[in-house]
Amino acid sequence: MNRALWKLAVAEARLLWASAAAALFAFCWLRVWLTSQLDMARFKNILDQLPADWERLSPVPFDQLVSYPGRIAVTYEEPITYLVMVVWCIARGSDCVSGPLGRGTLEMVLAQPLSRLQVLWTHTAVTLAGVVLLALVAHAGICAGVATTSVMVEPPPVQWTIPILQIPISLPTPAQPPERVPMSELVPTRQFLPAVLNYACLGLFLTGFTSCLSAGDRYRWRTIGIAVGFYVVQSILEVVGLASESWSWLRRLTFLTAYEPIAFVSTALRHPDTAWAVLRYDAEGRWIDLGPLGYDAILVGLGLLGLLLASVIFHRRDLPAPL
Amino acid sequence: MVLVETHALTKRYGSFTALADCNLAVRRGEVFGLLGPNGAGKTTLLRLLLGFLRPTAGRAAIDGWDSTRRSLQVRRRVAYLPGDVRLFRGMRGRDVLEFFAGARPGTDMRRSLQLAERLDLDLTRRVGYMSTGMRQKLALAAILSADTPLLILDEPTSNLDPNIRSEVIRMVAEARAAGRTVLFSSHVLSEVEESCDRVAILRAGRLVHLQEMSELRCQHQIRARLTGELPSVPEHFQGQLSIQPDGQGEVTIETPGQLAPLLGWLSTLPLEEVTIQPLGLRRIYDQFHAERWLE
Repeated sequence: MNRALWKLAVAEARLLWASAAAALFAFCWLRVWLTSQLDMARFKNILDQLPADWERLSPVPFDQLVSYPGRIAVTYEEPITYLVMVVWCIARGSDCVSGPLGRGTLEMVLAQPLSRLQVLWTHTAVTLAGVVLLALVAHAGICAGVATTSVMVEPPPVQWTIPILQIPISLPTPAQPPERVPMSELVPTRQFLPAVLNYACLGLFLTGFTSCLSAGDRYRWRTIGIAVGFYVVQSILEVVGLASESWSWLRRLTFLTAYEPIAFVSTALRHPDTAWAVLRYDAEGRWIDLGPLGYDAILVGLGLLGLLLASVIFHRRDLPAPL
Repeated sequence: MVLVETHALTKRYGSFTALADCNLAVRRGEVFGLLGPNGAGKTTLLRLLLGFLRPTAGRAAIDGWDSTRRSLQVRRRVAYLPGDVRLFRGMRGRDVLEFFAGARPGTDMRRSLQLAERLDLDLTRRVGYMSTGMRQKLALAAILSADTPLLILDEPTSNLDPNIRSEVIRMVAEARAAGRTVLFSSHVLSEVEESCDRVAILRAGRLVHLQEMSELRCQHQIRARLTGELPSVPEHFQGQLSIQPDGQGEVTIETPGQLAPLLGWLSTLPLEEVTIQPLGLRRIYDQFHAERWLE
C-alpha cells in the first residue's frame, strides 16, 4: 500500500464522486416527494388504463406497484439513477489504464517502484468504494425523502366482527376526511436494502467490465465508446426480451436481467424470509429461480472476472510511449 | 562493474523492428550517452530497461535484476525522466513533488524543493498552467531528488532554455560525482560530448558504434594553409596520422592519439593560419548518419 498512490486516486475521483452523489441524493429525495404528490387511487387508475401487454415490461405485476413502497422502489430503475452509476463506473473504469496511458501520466507513476497491480487495484478500490457509497447515498436520499414527506390517506372504514361467526363487516359511517400521515409509517425503508445491494452490484459489474476494456486499450475515448455501446446493446436486449415472449431468450444475454431492484423490494415486502435468499424454492421445496442474492452473485462474479482479466492484461501488456 | 546490461535485446512490432540484437554494458558511475536520430531505437531501449515493454528476444538487466520479470526491483534502482514529460494537470507544482517523494520511499522532499529552487520553479502554479519547459523542470526536480544508483534521462534538456540546459548538465555531472550512473539520450551532440564518458550510436534499431569519450577527446584535427612542400612523415608517426591536402593549398591532419608529441614536428612544417580542434563527436556521428541526408 502506497499512501501517495491512494491520495492521487482519491484526489482524481473526489470531484466526480461528489457531483454524482449530490445529484443522486437530490434525485432520490425528490422522487419520494413526487411519489407523495400523486394520490394512490389516481396512480392505480393510470395503471389500469395501460394496455395489458405493458405489464410485461414491468419487473413486478402492476398490482404490486400500487403501494408507496412499490412506487418508491421504481426510483432504482429510473434513468437518472442508472445514469449516475453508469457515468461513475465508466468514467472511473476507463481511467484505470487507457486514461493515464493516453495522458502520459501512467509512465511517470510506473517509473516509481510501484507494481502495475498496485496501481490498478488502488484505482479500482477507490472506484468500488465510490460505487458502494453511491448506493448508500441513493438509499440515504430515499430515507431522507421518506422521513420528510407525508401523504393524504383516507381512513379505513370502521369494521365490526360478528361475535361467534367471526365475520367482519364494514359499518356505514359518514365519510371521513383524508388524514395526513407521515410517509415513514407507510414505507419500511429497511425493505429497500436488497435493492441497494443490487444497485451496488450493478456498479461492480460495470466497473469490472470497463476496467477490463481499459486495461488493454491505449485510448480512453475508445474504451468509453465500447463500454457505452455495450450498455446500449444490453439495454436493447433487455427491452426486446421483455416486450416479446418469443424474444424472451434475449434476456439471458444481458446482465440487466440480474438487475431487478423493484422485484427484490417487492420480495422483501411480501416474503421477508426470502429477501436475502440465494435460491428460491416453491412450496414443495423445488428450486424455481435465483433469489436476490443469487442475482447479485452473478453481477459480482462477472465484475470480479472483469477485474481479474484487467489485472492479467495490464500485467502482461506493453506500455507504449504516449502520443 | 556493470550496472546495466543487455544481451541480444530485440523488440519487434509485427514486421517492424524497433531494436535488434542490442548488446550493451553500462559501468557503474559512468555517464553513458545514447545518440541517434528519431526512430533509431533509443526510447525503445530505455523502455525495455524499465520493463514498460516486453522484449521479443534477448534480455535486459539492471543491477542483476531482470527488467521484465523483476521490474519492481529494477525500478527501485532507477529514476526515469521520459522524453515527453506529462504530469498531473490538476496538481500544483509542490503537490507533484510530494507525490513523487511519497511514491518512492526514502526520497527527501527537502532535496526536491532545493532542486526546484535551483531550477527557478514556481511551485504554487498548477501543472495545467505551466509551460512545457516548466513542466520539464518540475519533472527534473522530482526525478533528480530520488536517491537511486541509476538515472535514466530521455532527452532531458529538450524544451529548456540555454541557462537551464547548462544547469541540467551540471546536475548530471554532480550525479556522476556522487557515484551515480547516468544513462542519457539526446539529440544535442555538444551536450553528450560535454557530459558523457561513453556514447552508443544507434541507427535503425541497431547499436552501430560504441565510443569512449576519453579516446575521442585525444583526437584532434589540424587545419592549415600550406606555404611550401610537405616533407615526409617521420618514421615514429608513420601510420598514426591522416594527412589530406585539399589541392587548393590547404591541408587537414588528423591525429588519433595525444597531440603533445606531434607539436614539435608540426612547428617545422611550412604551415600558416593553423587551427587545432578536437575531432568531436560530430565526425563520429556523421560516419553513421550523415549519409541519411546525402541520399
